[in-house]
Amino acid sequence: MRHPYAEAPSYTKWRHAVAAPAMAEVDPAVGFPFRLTRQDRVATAGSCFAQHIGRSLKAQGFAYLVTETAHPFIANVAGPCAYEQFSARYGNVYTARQMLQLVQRALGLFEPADRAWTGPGEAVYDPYRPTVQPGGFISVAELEADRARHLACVRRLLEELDYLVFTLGLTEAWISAEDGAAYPLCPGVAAGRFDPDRHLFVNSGVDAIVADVEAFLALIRSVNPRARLILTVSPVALAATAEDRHVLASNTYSKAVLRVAAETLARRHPEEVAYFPSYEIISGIHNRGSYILDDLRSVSEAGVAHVMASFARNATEQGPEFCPVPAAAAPPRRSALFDDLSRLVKAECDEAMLGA
Amino acid sequence: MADILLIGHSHTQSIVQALQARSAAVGWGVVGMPSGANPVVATGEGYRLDPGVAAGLRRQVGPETLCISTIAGNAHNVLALMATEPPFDFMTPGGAEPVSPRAELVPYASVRLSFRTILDEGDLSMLHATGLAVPEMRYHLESPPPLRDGDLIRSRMDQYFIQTYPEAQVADSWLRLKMWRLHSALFAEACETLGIAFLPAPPEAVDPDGFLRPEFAHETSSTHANVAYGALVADQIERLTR
Repeated sequence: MRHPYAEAPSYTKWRHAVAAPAMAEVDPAVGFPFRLTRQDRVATAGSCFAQHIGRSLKAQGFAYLVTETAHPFIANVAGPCAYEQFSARYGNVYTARQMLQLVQRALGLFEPADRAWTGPGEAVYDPYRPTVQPGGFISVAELEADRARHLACVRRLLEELDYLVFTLGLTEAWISAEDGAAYPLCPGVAAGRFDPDRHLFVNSGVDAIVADVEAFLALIRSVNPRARLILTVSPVALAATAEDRHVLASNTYSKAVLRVAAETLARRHPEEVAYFPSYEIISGIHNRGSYILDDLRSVSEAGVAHVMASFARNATEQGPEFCPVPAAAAPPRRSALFDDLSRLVKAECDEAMLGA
Repeated sequence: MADILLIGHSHTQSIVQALQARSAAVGWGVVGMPSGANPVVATGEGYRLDPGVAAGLRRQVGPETLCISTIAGNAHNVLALMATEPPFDFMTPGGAEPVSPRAELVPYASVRLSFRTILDEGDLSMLHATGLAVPEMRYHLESPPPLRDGDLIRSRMDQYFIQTYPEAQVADSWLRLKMWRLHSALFAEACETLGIAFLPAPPEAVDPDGFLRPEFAHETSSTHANVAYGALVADQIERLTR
């Protein structure tokens, strides 16, 4: 007797596609609809897992688009200062609402009332990226100047990208009671002070997240009609929940909502949005938890490598024969002029020491 | 044994030349630290002076010797004497200095972290290691402030450098002043950790904005002060001994 499963491809069957293959051979991204070329400019944003994707794309020779870079003078601390973690210096963008507002702010459509947080100490912090500047800013004026440059870089990113890889990280968020401005971190955690009258907790459902993603994609496409969106769901578990329940239950709920939202968006906008199943590669039972480190949250390099191998196979024009070519090394911090300046100063020191 | 021992690098020399021109009331000695590779070695207990260098230093120190550091002092010039491309600038906590509108604004904390990282791996490790090798070291001398006038600086530079980089510009004067002040602040912090007093540049040598007055410019160096400046520093030191 014939039935639909009889002729279905093997990747649709758990025994063949998950249980039987070697761990590294499990590949849920089969049939991914987009094929990136090396000429496509790819940007990343989202929760911390998106950092891995950006780093791997760059290492594999893709045109990883970064519009906000550290001035060469501070290149030695670009990493600690959150440059090049993502395509611009926005830090982790955990929620779709935060991403929507980032796009709105970059396009001059939203200006949150909450402009700056103070503390710890005398330092000033950006409420919308409180961890990007170690030690904080020295004044609101300095913060505002840096933010203006940042948002200009984000705008250029939105105008120039071909693909945005956005990793949905959280459903839980804290927002301003005044105007709904979404914070990446609860005030008081890394900077600022928590005020229950001014800071509200929200836990977004599928409809709200779908609406936020559709809104920010529409805004991006209003300045860049060719832009496409690749969604992933972060496999990194919640560090804590603000719901009064076990964090494991909140984590399961959160990931389920994000996964359904991503699926909804990809089905609703197949020409513009695709879902890449990195969440499944990392969290699937096929790897028996081996892609998660001892803190039971962080993802191992082996897990990232599995994701990126699948991405190369299924989401690039090179297909299965794709052979990563490392990107050119970053330009050195020092130019010849400054190397020679160093020698000049040393020579002056030597001559001065000799009493010349 | 000298009553006063200067331990350090090239900024010592203007002081020494000034002292040679006067009959000093106290005995002076100088220990020049190696000017090539950093004489600091990593040990299990942290950075320490090379044992040979440390032993040579210890031989110069008597029970009553006042040891004064003139270690390093030119890292700000290495980094920011000449303008970068693109130009950059930064605000400072006091906000006293102007910011160039044509420059890329870099957050102060980033500049500070960058500079601190470079100094920790170099000049400050030397100061720290020397302080441990010579606990008698009581003072560190601030290096001379920068000159305001870019043309004066260029005129004192090695002509080979000027000819090799004819388009290179001396960096904005306020940026150079800010970098010197940051350099001084980082040294002062390190001195506080070591229990060493930080002795500021003589106020008579500094104009109202904080630049080195042109009459104290070195005759052949764009990054050092002259004998007249050294004499003011020598006066400062002699006052310490009274």
